[in-house]
Amino acid sequence: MKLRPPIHMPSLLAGVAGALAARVALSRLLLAKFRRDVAALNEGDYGSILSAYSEDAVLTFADGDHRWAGQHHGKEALERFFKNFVAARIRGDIRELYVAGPPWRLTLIVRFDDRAEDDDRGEIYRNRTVVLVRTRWGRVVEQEDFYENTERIAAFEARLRELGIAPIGD
Amino acid sequence: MQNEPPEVEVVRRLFQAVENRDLTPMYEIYDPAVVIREAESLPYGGEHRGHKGMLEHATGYLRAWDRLQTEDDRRLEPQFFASGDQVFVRWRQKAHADDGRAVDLPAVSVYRLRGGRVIEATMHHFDTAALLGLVAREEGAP
Repeated sequence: MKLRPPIHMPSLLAGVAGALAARVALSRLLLAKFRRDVAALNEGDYGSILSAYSEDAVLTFADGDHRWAGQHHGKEALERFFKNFVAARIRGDIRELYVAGPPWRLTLIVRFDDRAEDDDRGEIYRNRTVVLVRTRWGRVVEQEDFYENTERIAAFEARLRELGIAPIGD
Repeated sequence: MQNEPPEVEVVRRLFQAVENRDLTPMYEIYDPAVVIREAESLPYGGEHRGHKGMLEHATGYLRAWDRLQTEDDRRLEPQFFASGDQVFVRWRQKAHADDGRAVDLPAVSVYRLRGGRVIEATMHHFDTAALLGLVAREEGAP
């Protein structure tokens, strides 16, 4: 009969506690990085947030009559997506971030509020958002954006066109 | 579910109640001071407060979707993510109209709990315009 090695409870507890502490630390690190990236994006610098995506990343956005519609495959398409974000003078705030899964395949859920102002009319766009992000070894591979109201995006698009802010295309 | 955080268990019961079209458990699941936020463009949209508001939201949802949903469409396919006093749920809104048009879109709802009950719920949709397109055309249909 084989004898199982005894489970060393203090080691096991230390391991569990270590894993939980690592998850908390990772969550804080990611939150800090996302806050820095979004702060830079708000100032018109999309380079930092773009670097978080893998070369084959896919961002899926609601269909509709607006410049962000549909699926965006790969870095070039994502760069256009963020250029349009910056050109539309959208400003975002991360409210919360939740991290699930192992480090090599994390799922991030980001509660994000975005808004845009026009010099004459003040606020012309506001939405509450949840961004669902899947990563592979720390790089974003998939992103889905969910909105409190996607019709506000189409209305915002119409306002941007009135203001002469054309979409940045291929 | 074993080892499920109690917050997830509460929200799971909520999803089961919606799938089963059973409003009774919702009075226990939702706090009497609950605030439910839904896209204002939808027929059951806006901010709904308290149990009265919860009932308005739930019956509005059923009125809009029930006749467009098969038994399978009613399955919400929820995935739960717990985070402290909040639970995020990715689920699917499915429906079929008689003329062949259909929607099958993901959504994310965020629930905040207090004292074991849902005190705040906010729905985030992938495409409210697509949902409205189906519901509004059906409502306008003879």
